[in-house]
Amino acid sequence: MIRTIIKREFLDNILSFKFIACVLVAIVVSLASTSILTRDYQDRLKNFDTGIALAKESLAKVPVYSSLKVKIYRRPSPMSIFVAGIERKAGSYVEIGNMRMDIPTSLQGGVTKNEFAAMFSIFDFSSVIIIIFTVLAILLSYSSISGEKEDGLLSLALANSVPRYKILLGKYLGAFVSIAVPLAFCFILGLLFLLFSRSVDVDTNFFGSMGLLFSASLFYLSGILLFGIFASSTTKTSFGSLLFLLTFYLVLTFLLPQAVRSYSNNAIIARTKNVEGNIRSLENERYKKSGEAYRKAVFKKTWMIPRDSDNMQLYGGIILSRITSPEYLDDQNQSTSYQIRVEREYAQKAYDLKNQDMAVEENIRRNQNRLLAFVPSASFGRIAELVADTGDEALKRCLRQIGLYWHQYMSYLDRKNAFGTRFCYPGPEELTPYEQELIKKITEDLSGRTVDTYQSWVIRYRGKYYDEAMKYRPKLTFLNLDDLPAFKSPELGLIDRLKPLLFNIGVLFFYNILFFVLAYFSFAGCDPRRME
Amino acid sequence: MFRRMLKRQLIEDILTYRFLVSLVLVLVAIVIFSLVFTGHYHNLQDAYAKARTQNDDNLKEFAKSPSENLMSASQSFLLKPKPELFISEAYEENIPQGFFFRASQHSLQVLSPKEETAGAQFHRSISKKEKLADVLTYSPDLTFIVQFLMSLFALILAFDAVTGEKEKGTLRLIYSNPVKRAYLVLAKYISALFTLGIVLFIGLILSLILLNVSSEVSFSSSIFVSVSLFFLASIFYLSTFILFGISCSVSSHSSRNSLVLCLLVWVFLVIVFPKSTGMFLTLKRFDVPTEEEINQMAQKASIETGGRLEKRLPADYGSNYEKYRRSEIRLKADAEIDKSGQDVLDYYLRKKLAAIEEVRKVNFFSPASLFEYSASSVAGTGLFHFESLWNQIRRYENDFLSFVKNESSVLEKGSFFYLTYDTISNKPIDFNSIPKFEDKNSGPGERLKDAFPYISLLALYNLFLFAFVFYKFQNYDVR
Repeated sequence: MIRTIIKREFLDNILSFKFIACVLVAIVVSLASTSILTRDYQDRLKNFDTGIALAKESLAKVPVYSSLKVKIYRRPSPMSIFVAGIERKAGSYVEIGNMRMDIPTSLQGGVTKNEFAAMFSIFDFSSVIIIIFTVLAILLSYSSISGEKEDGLLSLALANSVPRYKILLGKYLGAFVSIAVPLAFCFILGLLFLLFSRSVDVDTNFFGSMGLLFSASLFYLSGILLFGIFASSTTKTSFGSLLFLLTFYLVLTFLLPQAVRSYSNNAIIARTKNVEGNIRSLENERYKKSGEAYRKAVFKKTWMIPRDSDNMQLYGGIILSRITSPEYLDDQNQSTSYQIRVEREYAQKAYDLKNQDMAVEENIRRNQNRLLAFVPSASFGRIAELVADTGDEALKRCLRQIGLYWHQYMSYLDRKNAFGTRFCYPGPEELTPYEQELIKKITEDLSGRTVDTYQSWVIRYRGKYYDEAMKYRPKLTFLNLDDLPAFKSPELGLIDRLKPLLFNIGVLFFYNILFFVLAYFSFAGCDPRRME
Repeated sequence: MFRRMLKRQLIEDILTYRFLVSLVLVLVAIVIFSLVFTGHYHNLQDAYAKARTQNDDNLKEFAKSPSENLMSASQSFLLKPKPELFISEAYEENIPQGFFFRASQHSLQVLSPKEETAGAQFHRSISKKEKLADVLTYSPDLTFIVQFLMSLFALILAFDAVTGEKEKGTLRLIYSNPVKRAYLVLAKYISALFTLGIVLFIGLILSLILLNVSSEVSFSSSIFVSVSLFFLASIFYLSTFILFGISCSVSSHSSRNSLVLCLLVWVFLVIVFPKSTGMFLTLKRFDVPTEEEINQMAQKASIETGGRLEKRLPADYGSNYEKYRRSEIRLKADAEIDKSGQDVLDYYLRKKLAAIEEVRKVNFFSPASLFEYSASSVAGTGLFHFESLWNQIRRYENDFLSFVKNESSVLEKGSFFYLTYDTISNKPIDFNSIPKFEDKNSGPGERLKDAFPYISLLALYNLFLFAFVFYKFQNYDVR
């Protein structure tokens, strides 16, 4: 008997106008979003590949350590086509600089070239499910019982010797199949589109995630259906039940999560009000300390020729000319080592401060998520983000890994004595006889020396060998950076990713059971005769 | 006859529970939103005040000894938080928050949240994460209430305009009299509009009171103007949805079908369509050069201008290098080079804004977006605020530079002044006489001018729907 009911419900639904209209809109929007997000993913992947290649190339052409900049790229994930999360917006790379060695706490280079585009949002698959498929579920279930009552069919159905629970189950399963079929269709369409586009590489992890996303959506939608059936059996008219369901839909999908999120944003701002001030005072301290060093340092009064600006433009950083007096090199080494010590100390302090800030934020957001887990749509959104690994957790994991890498990189630089001579003075190690000759000539030529306007301990040489020294273009040798540690991106297996999900999935499961029981008891006492 | 029908309809509408439910829900929503808004607005004001004091401190340092603190002549100009944000927040926290003005290089840069400036810190302190629009993110403002809740109520009031009467059996009774077909539809429309108008009016009065009490917003004329213009725009918007409801009613034969149709229309026009058009920005047509490309262009422009001017400069300066550096010609040339770079940056900003305008044009299909834009232009928030800020800053730049020019004296030569270490004197300037920047609201005329295209499009929508309803109802089977 149940099978008959299911078949009848299913056919009824499929041929109704509301179903066709909703499914059409869902297919159009999901296809459009998949195609655009796929193209966006391909662009990001291309940027990633070229970025990595360029970074590798540039590592072969670094003359001095002050022009060494390490760029770490984050690989875009194909799941971001279906659940956009914050991956598109959070940025794709991080750069560890040469002079200011801050430990990065955020990614740079978000995809949007136009900052004003932050006003717009993109419909991704999970939003299609939360908005369009939920409306479809409401439309399919709001009149399941009260509609039949109004049409007079409920009393006919119950006049047979069919137990009430079988009718209820039949209606639920019929609606469930009616919504699972278009959902599966949309998923398959999306997958096919993805598989047939170029340069999108998918692995078994991806299919596992998609399967999980599909099951989670079915779970969520079945909860909505059961709630709709419950509402339908409790209210007297189908209009009343639709109004009731719509109000719940509006409040729970739009108003409540937004209110909770605004509240937690305000709480975060209130608790971390002082961090900005602290970071600023840290900055001032750092600035003062490095300035102090400069002023207190005892530099030998020696000549210098302006820095090698041509090569500086080409390679970045500070590159001294090969024609530099040895005393000036010593001065430079001294100041560099002091500066770097100050930099590292403050980089670590700033990082710790920002981490404190981050910890407070994480705490508040964890509570927010726990509260929102009781709102079905928000719960499903979070499940989708966790399954696709495109949410906050993935970003934080990546940043933590980058923090660890920073320490590795710093110890590498120390091992290679990067902050010694080779920080600003380009190789080769030995001066050529011509260079030695020129340096000796300039040292002995006491003419053309003027004190530099800004740095009184430096003497600018502008004597007769000045032009020769400026025109001298040696061939620079490059550093051997083959043993630079590589960055390994943190990958979490599917099972590990699911651990934080258990609470949300549990709540959805609980809702399903709760609404079924409520619908059962409400239907058990329902009067099937039409109200005249 | 018409007046009688109208009176009957009015009494019917106001005495139903629909009116009460919508009134209660709207008032409750306004109360909750104003509570959320108050806390947030105080945070915004605090952050803005902090940024302003930092700015003023910088200027004080500069005024004390200008030549030593030339770099402090830089200022950040930020979007000032206005109480009109309660009317329409318009994603004001998602767009760049202002500009950074480096007077010594005549450069005006858009503040991006990643920069280490007072403005960037202000931006960060608003929301700890980069605030980005999401499909489910809506700001708690009056626009949200009208756009979402009240349009739904409009549909609920109007969905059974014709089919309800038909099902009750009264439609054929009415039309057994010599009544023009248009009268019923007009009566339904006017009474629904009037009902919603009352709800909206009460809601707006309540929100004004709440704003005054909680956020300490004074009853200045500016906020009155904004609220009344907002009321006007909302009336147009709600009338559109009433007409949508009546058209769905006229196109179906039963109330249930009509309700489903109304719901689908609402979901599509209010949620799906406006949120999907963001996708267009990823199309090539709206492409904007990348930051790197623009920096290269700016560099190239500066080099070109430099090259062009080199020809006019003395070729041989020899040992008089320092004197040459301070010479008027050199300084003028430097200023022109800076300006050509700045022109590229201005072009970049204009291109970005133009791309956004283009995408917004696609949204004109949905009355919800039209309403959103008209509300934002009427309140002077969002993109409109940003553009007005830009214009005001450009005027201020000239004022500031001419002020310092008058104040400073150059070392022996005339009275030209290019804010460089070489030319600016160290004579302290009186801080109080330095012109300060104030972000002023634009006048009502200007706001109306901005809102005019959107409101007129809404009026066009109304006309079109009127025509559709009248046409369809002529042949409607009243039995």
